[in-house]
Amino acid sequence: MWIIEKHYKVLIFLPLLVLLLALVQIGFQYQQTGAPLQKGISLTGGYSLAVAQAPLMDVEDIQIALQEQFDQQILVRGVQERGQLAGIIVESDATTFEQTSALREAVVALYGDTLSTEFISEETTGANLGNTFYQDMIKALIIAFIVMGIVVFILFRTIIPSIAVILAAFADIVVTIAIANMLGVQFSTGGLAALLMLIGYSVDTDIMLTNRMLKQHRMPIKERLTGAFQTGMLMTGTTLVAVLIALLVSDSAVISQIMLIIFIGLCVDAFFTWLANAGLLLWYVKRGKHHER
Amino acid sequence: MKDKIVSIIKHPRVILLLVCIVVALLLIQPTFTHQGVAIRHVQQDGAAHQAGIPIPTSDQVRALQWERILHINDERIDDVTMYFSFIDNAQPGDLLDITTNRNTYLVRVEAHNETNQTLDIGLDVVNAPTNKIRKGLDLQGGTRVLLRPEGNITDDEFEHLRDILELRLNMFGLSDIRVTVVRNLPQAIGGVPQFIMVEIAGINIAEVQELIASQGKFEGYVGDTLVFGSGQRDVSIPRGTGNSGITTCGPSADGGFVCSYFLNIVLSQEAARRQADATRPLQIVTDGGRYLSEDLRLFLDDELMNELRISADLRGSATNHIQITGSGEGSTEREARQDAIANMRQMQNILQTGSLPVSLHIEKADTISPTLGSAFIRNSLLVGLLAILGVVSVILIRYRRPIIAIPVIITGLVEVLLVLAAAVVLQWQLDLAAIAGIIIVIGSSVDHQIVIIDQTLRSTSLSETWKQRVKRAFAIILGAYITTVAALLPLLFFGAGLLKGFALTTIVGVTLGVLITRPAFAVMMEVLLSDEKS
Repeated sequence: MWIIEKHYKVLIFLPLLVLLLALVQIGFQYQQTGAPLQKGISLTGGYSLAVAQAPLMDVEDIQIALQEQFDQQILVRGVQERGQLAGIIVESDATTFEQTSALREAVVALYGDTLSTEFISEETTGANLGNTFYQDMIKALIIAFIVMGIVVFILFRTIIPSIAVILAAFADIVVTIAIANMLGVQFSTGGLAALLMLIGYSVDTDIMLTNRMLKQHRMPIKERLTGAFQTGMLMTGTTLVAVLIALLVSDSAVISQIMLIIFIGLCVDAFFTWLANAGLLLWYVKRGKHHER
Repeated sequence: MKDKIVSIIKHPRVILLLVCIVVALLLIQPTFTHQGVAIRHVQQDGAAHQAGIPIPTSDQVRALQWERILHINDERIDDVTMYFSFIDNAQPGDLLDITTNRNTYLVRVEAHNETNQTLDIGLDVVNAPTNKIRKGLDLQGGTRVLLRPEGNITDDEFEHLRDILELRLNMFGLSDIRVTVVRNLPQAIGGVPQFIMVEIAGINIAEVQELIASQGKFEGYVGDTLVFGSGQRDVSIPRGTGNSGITTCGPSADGGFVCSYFLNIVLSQEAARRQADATRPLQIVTDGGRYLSEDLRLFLDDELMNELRISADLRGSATNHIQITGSGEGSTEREARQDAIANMRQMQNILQTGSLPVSLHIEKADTISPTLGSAFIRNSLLVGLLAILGVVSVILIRYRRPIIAIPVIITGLVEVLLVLAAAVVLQWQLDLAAIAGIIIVIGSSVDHQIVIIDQTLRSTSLSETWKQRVKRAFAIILGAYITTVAALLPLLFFGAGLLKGFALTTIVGVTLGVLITRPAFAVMMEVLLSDEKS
């Protein structure tokens, strides 16, 4: 903690640099795909068929066989369970009923017709709907930010600390998206919802930090920071553990993506809260011995 | 220690918490006795139906009302997997002695007469519910289809569309159907309907898609001539009383009773003329009254629905007003009357809604099998358990005092319990997104508890009173709470409400937490850590 206390003025440039790099990555992504993040099937439209039974052939062979039969783009992924191939997920940009049922029949045939419908799950999303979802979620993110800004300002009634919290949350989202892009994450509606949740979690620690720094007047600044750091790291730590466990143990693709995004986001949040937000607050408090109230 | 616990329990906040726990348990009503598998649907004329197993009626919508299979051939059936292991191993000619919570049935397994393949006995089963929590598609299995009508239609037309879809699905004998209109915002603040969502038990998505995607085609034929229907607004129901009702009731030929109803309908001029042209060349027959030689046959999507006799006086006349008659039967007069009324209402519905010329576009279609759904539930419970263990370990490592860890576990678990009880009260369904919401509520709960703990343990060099510290803790908590709720509120409506479960569980969970469980936790901390303060 003393590192921050001593060098906060310099250290603040590190988060700024990271933010800049993230913005560059996103700009690059935008140029490539027209969106700041990679959209999965539930946002672009398409068909996803999950079979919870080990296939008779290799995943690559299945993909080749299917691609030969159909014009649409087809992607086949394997599902691992305890180190073994336990199922497959077939994704394609097919949207009409004829296309999806044809693809379904082809997959069943590849299983030698020994497939019971018990083990099949399908999901079709129209392109229109996918796009609507995407637009809706972006709107929701913006609304969330605005509300957060208002709440924070009402709570602290000072400009700079409020801006610090908002910036930290903004940076959280931006850097998380950039990292997810680099990891090749294809966002589903769940993944975007996780971003919304991230705002909540990030604000938890930032508000706690700001409150402790600004309002505990009788405590020396260093102690305020150290105390806040201990509390904050514990908060982030426990949530990280819960989310990591869910990520590793859950079989559901929806839950896994939500937890992955939150995990990345929390790590990023720790970085930004304690380097940037804390630094800004330190500067603010030391500068004016912030008026006692 | 005992005094501490007593003083905790006596505190009003904690009493409130305990009351809520009891209410929650009463609402959820968990059962621990053997429940078997519930019969969701029985295929008409399948082996099971022939053995006498009744088809669930359309008003038995909730799983708690369905008949449950407890034993097959004296072996206990605990879940869907066991049921299927019996069915999959059955050979044609086998006799299955099926015992349910209401009766016993002897089902003979049959084979297809041409291919000799073993035929399924025609039962759609799900794991019997052991509590009152309703499970969504992801956890129970089923089909969900999101439909968008072509073109712009009004609110009323949306509702009509919803009615007709439900009617058609009911006609096919499917139980456990939910057809809802999805809006982008609540109606109260100007939300417009966007989609119609159909959720059906069973995973025959192909059938469902065909059923729904085909346009509602309602037609009336006299002989081979099309008189009305097929997209034009030919038929409407006049308003006001006196346009429908029961005419007579009397004993029927087979010892029961039969009641007749009448229903006035209005044809468009065009349709009336067509009817005149079609009925003019017909003969009159006498058969308990004077009727025309051809009936008015009503078809819904090319399937014959009703055959109605045409009164002789209507021959050749271009009347707009037509009186349709039909009947209902029953073993008592009262039953016959009720059946007649039901049939009449069904006719009204069809006539009123069947001719809407709107085609539907499938925007989204999902199916999950029930086996996978059960697997998800088990997996989620495991995740929840391990997550709690993980969190508690971290807390123990940090504070090194079980006296802190135990209230943390209790508080977290109670919040989950309260959310589940809220789900029962508000009758919403739990799906995977909702489970993700619950995990997040646990995370938020622990965060806030840590804020409270740290405030409590702060050294007294601050000379803040207990009340002041708690106030500070809750100021922090409140700010975070409002932000979280605001961030998730839009999800209740955006995204066609598919993430509603996530938003609802999280919002309700953290709200109940901030109002009930976390203040109670603060009390626990104050009492248990009171010796640390000095």
